Amino acid sequence: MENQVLLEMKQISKTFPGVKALKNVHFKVHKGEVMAFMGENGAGKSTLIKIITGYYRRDPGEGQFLFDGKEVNPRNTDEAQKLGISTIFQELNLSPFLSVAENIYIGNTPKKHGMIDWDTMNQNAKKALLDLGVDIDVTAQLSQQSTAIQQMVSIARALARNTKLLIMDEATSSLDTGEVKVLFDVVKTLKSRGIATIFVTHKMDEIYQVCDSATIFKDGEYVDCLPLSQLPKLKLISLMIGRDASELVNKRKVYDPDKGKAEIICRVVGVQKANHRLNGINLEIHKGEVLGLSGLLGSGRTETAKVIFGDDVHYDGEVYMGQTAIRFKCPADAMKKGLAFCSEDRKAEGIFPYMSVQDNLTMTILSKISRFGILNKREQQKRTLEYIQKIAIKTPGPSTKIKDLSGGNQQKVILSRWLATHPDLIILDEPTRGIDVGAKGEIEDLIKQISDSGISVLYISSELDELVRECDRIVILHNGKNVGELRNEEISSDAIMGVIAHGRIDT
Amino acid sequence: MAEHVQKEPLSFREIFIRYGAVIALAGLILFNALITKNFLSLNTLWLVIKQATPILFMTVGMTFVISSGGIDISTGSMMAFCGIIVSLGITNGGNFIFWCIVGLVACGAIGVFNGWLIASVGVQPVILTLVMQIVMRGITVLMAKSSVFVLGGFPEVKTLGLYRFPGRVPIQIIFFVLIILAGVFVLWKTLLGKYVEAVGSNPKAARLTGVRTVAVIIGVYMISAILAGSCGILEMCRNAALDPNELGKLYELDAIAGVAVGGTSMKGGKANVVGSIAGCLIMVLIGTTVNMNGIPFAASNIIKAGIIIFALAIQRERSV
Repeated sequence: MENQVLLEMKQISKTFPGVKALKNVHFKVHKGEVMAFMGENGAGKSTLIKIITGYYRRDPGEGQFLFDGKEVNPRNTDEAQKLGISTIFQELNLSPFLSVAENIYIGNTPKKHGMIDWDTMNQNAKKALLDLGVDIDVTAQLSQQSTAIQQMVSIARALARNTKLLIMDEATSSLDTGEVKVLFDVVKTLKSRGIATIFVTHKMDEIYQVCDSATIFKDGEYVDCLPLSQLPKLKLISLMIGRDASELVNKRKVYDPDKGKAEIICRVVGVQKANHRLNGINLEIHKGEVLGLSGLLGSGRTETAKVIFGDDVHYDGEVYMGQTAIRFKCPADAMKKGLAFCSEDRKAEGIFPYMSVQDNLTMTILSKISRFGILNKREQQKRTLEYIQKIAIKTPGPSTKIKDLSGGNQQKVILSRWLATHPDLIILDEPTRGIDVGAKGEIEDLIKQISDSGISVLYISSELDELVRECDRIVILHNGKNVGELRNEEISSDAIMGVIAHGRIDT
Repeated sequence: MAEHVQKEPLSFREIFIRYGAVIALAGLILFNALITKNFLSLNTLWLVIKQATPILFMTVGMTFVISSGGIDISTGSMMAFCGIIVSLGITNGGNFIFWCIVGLVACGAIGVFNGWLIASVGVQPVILTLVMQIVMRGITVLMAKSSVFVLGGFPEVKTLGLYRFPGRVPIQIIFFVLIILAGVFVLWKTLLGKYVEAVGSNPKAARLTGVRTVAVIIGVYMISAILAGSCGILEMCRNAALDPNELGKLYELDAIAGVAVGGTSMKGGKANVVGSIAGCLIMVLIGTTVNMNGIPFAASNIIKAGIIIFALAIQRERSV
């Protein structure tokens, strides 16, 4: 049973106009195996997954796609699902206004006399979720549930359709540490039932917690497939980026003890919100330091950032810039006082997808470089080229639409957009989310340069490694309150986890 | 995730979205040149310009609104509202220019109100402007006490509506050129044009990059209202009369159609003002074609509908 091959692909290629996205890729997944697909953006993971799930069709001719011993060629996602292949995406394809049970059985509803059999449906749904360790009211509207629960609902939906292979595409990006653990327990349960899982993620640590093996791709080609026990992290990264990665990892920052004594440029005192998302946040940000903000999802990190940047004006408490208390009416006011904010959600709050790199990069300074409201396109282009060169943004040119750039390069454009304003304090909310390893390193280096140039950074991240590498000081939040602070040598992943756990017990 | 940067040459579809309206306009002219008798004469050109100028004002305004991610279907009633203010003013012995300014300021104020409700309060633009369409029409009819104004006796109205320069060139050509230059200039060259596209493309990102989105949206609806008011004055002068029940009725649909055919994204974020101008001319020219070939006028609406559906179908988001 263990060694039975469930999915085997041989010599799979996929050509898009002008690009060969996959070149003779091959791999095998066994029943009950949890396999990670690893590779940088553009390595072909997504394309391959879209072929497996029937979203794309592979190049005809050579190659074979064997599932459960038979040769198959799903023509659409529906056919793939009938074969037993389901996908859980980062953005869930659920109907928020239907009930939990309806979402699980949609398109597959138990019927009695041609009508929906609500009792059976709700009972089955309850049982399906209990199997996954979730005990909720299945008649409640889905949108009332947390993202983590919604994820469980989509897994339950997949299982209700007799799934043999589950694909998780960045399924953990919007979950916090505790929720990820629950998800992994579910994956382990599925494993014991012989269901195989393919796991795609940018979070290195996670695959070591849950996966048996990893298949590595680079530039649309198969690189290697190894059991994780024979694949230390450094080797994995090196295979992914195709060069030695030792300089990327565990490079602890060199402290400058003077930073903690420098003047305070921004102070947050007792900030609360009526909806209890924030219950008394206190921060002091010194000139030139990198202050990390850690805590679980929902601990108030992003909310704090939005209060400081004037995007959220409904709060009690005070924000000081220098010595003066200030209430911004909108982000434009905050920008005038030397603030910058890079949102965690690049797609929804960062880029203007159909506008050019140039427009995206200079949007923050357009009014400064225009005269009498008339655009100065030459100046726009000059500034853009300056940053393309300085920060090594990979783009065919300043007029390319930003949506055609990779995630890492989009992020570089957004960072440039803020550097161009010459801020005193830049707030970075999950600056490396959804970015591949190589680009992550570059973004981290860039942040170091930013802080070296005297700009203060408020660094929000769920990735403890990153905080440990980057920060002079870390404030840990829980339930919208400060629960602890670590500085300089005290900082380590374990110490942060300790404070988070302590905060949890306290409240 | 792993999106591949693809350098593709422009596909047929992209070419069509970008230049489709201009191509279609050329096609329509060619078609008429072959089919329609007496089409290829300067008189036809002057006729089209005379008819197109008022609605072109509204179409340019609509381009602003739609590329900011909204829509304004109150513009037809706005025309009549502006018309009634001017009519009441001059029939009571007032100065024509003065009352035109009063009318346009009143329209602008209502536009600001629309924009404020949409941007600050969060009312859906379609619903709000639909309500405004009904309300403004009602106010107009009440102000007119349901009577039709005949304005042929006022020299300014006659000049603005019917004057022809030597060579039978209609006076409308001045406004025709002005609105094209102004529209292209603002949307291509100014900060406002860029901000409108940014707000239409991603309102949250625009706000977070320091664009005062509320002000931009208010500005956009104000522009739309003032241009609709101008459209009302020009159209009233061309008719030398004002029927408060009828002036501007369904004009907003022609304007929206012109914008859609012109390749401005209906979801906002991408303005194609040249396309809008061509789209507007197409709408007018279809009417002319139908008229000159003796086809019933109602048929022109069916042809227009076909063109709009084609334009929207080709604009759809690529599914893969």
